Amino acid sequence: MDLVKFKADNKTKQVIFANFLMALVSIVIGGIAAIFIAIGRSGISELFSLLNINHEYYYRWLTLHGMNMLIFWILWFEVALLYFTSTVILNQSIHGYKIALTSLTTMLYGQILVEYSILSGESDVLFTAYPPLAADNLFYAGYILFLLGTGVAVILFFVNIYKAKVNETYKGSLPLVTWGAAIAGIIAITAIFQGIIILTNTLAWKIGLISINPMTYRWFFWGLGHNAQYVNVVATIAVLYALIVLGTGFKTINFINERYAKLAFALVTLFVIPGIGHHILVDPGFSTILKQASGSVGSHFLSVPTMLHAFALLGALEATLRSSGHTSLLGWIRKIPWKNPAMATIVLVLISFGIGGITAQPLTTLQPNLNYHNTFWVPGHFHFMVAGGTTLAFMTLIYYMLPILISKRIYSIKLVTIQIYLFFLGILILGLSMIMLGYEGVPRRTLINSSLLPSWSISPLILVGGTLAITAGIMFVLNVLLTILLGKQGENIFEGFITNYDIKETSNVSKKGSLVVCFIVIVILLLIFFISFVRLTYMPSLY
Amino acid sequence: MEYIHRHINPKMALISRSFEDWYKKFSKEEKIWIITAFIVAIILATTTVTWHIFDSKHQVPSYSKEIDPYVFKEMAINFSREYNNKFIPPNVDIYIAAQQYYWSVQKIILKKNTDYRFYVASLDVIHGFTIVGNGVVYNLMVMPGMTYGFTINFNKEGKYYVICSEYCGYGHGEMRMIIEVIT
Ligand code: HEM
Ligand SMILES: [Cu+2]
Ligand SMILES: [Cu+2]
Repeated sequence: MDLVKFKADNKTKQVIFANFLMALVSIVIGGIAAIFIAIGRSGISELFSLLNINHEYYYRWLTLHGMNMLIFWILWFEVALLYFTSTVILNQSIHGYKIALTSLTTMLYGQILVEYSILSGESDVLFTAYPPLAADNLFYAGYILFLLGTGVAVILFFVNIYKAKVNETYKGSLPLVTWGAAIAGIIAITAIFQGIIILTNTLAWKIGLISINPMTYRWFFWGLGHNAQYVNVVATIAVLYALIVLGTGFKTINFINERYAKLAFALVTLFVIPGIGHHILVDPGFSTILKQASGSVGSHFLSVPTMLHAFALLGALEATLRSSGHTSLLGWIRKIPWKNPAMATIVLVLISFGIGGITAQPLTTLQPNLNYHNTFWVPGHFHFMVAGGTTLAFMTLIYYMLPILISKRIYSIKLVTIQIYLFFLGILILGLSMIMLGYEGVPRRTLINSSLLPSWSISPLILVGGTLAITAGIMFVLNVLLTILLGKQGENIFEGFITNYDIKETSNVSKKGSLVVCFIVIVILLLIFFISFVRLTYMPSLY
Repeated sequence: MEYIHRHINPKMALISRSFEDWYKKFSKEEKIWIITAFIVAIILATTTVTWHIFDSKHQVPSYSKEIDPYVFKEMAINFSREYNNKFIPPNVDIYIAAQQYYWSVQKIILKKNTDYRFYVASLDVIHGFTIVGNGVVYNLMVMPGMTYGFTINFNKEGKYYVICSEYCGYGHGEMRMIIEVIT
C-alpha cells in the first residue's frame, strides 16, 4: 500500500481537485474582503478614504467576507474532503462522477449568484440575512442552490462509502478519518435541510407569497449555522487525525485509541441539535426553560466530545515522543517537531480550539451571555474556531493532499512552515484583540466611532493581526499555485513533511503529560467561566 | 516517502483496521479524562441552572409579549414627548422604540439605585439594545412585533450609551442614545 499509488483514477482526482480549486477561489475573495473589514474595524479613519470605506461599503465587504469564508471556502473544501475520504482513502474511484459534476455546477451557479448579488449592492444583509431586512431574490436563490449542491455531494459521499463496503475495497472497519467525515456528513444533512427550508421560505416571503416571523427565521437559520459549525469542528478533528498519522509516517497510529476517538465523534451527533439555542439566549419570544436547556445545558455537553478529542490527539503526540525516548512528564513538549507542518499545525490548532472553547463558555451560558452577546467577543471566539482552527488545519491538509492529487512536490517547503506560524500569530493577535474589545462592549458588525469609550483604543491591533494573517494567506495561495504550475514531479513528494521516529515500545506508553496539560486548560476554563458570573454580579441588576 | 514504502503496514493508518485491531479498552488515563470532561459539563450546567437561587437579579429578562408595531409606536411617541431629555420619575414605565436608524428618545435621566421598568421593541427590522459605559455591558435583542420588558437598576452614576448591536442597515453604527444616571 503506497500513499501515492492509491487506486483512485484520474476522474476521481479531478473532481476532488476541482472542488478544492473553488475553495481556493473562495478564500481569496474572502481574504480580499478581510483587508477592508480589518481596516474598517481598526478605526484608523485616515485609511478609510484611501480604500473608499464608508458605511455602505463596509457592510458589503463584511457580507462578502462572511459568505466566502464561512460558507464557500469551508463547504467547498469539506466536499473535497468528503470525496477524498470516501474514494482515495477507501481505495476506489468515484461512483457517480456525473452526479459529482452536477453537484459542482449547482454549487458554482449558486455561488456566482450570491457573489453577483452582493457586489451589485442589493444584498448588504450579512451572511445571516435576518428578515425583515431583505436581500435581492438572487441572493436567496444562490444560497439555496449552493446548499442543494452541497447536499447532493454529501449524499454521494455516503453512496461511495456504501459501494466501497459492498465491493470490499477496504478490509476491516472504516478508517478513523472516514468515520469522522461520515459523522460530519450526517450533521451536514441536518444543517443543509434546515437551511434550505428556511431560505426557501424567505425567498417566498421576499417575492410576496407568505409572511415570515423573524424569530422563526433566527431559530431555523441557526439550525443551519450552528449545525454547520459542528460539521466544521468534526471535519477539523478528522483532518487532525489524518495529519498526525501522515506527519509521523504513520508511527502515531499505535497511540490513537480508535474506539475512544470513534465514540467521541459519535457523541457530537447526540448533543449538536440541542445546542442551537445558544444563538437566541437574549431574544424575546423564547421561553427561559428552552434557552436554558437547549442553549446552555445542551451546549455544555456539546463541549465534551471536543475535549475528549483534544486529549486523544495530544496524547498520541506525547506517546510517540515518549516511546522514542523523551520520558519526563512534560519534557516531550520541547521535543515536538516544530518544523514539521503537520505536527506544528496540530499543536497550533489545539491551542486555537482551546482558546475558542474557553471563550465559548461565557457566550453559551444564559446569564453571562447578556454581557457578551453580539459584542466583538463573538467573532473573537469564532476566529479561533474557524480561522485558527478549521482553516489552518485545512490549509495544512492541502499541503499533504495536493501532492497525492497531482503527484507533485509542494513548491516551497520552507514557506509552508513560515506560513503556518504566521497565520496562527495573525489570528492570535486578531482574535485576542477582538475578545478584549468585546469585553469592553464594542459591538460586532458595526462600523462605529471607536473613540466612544477610551478603552476601545486597542482597535488598531485588529489591523496588525489581520495584516499578518492575510500575508500568510497570500503565501499559502502563492505556494499552492506555484505547486500546481511549477511543482516538480518525482519520487520524494513528501520530503520534509514527515518526521521519522524510532518507536521502541507501543503498549502502555504513558500519556500523563497530556492529562496534566488538559487539566490546566480545564482550570482556566472554569476560572473564566466563574469570573464571568462574578462580573455579572457587579453590573446593575437586570431581570 | 521512501520511509512509507518500507514500513507501512497495509492494515494501518488512514487505511482501515480490522475490528480486533482498533477496538481496544479505554486506558486508565482515558477513563479519567472522560469522567473529568463530563464532570466539567455538569458543573457548568448546574451553575447556570441554579444561579437564580444565589442571584435572581442578574437574569435574562423573561417578559416578552407580542404587540402591534403601530400600537407600540404610539406608546413610544407619547413617552418621548413627555420625557425625552428629562428626568424620569421612578414609577414611570419607559417605552423605547427602535427604528432605522434611531431610538425614539435621545436621552433620559435616571436615578441611581432605583428600579426602572423598560419596554423595547422594533418598528421595522431586528435591532440590538446594548448599554455600554462605566464597565457595564448589556445586550438584548429588539424584535419587530414583540416587546421585551425588563427591570434595570443602575448602581453607579454617570453616562451610559445605548447603541445598536444587531446590524440593521447602513446607519446601524450611528444609532445612539444616552442614559444619564444621577444620585
Ligand atoms: C485572514 C484574516 C482575517 C481577518 C483579518 C478577518 C477579520 C474579520 C473581522 C475584523 C471580522 C469582524 C467584523 C465585524 O464584526 O464588524 C470578521 C468577521 C468574520 N470572519 Fe473573519 N477574518 C479573517 C479570516 C477569516 C476566516 C479564515 C474565516 C472563516 C473561515 C472568517 C470568518 C468570519 C466570519 C464568519 C465573520 C462574521 C461575519 C459577520 O458577522 O457577518 N474570517 N473577520
Ligand atoms: Cu452554535
Ligand atoms: Cu442596528
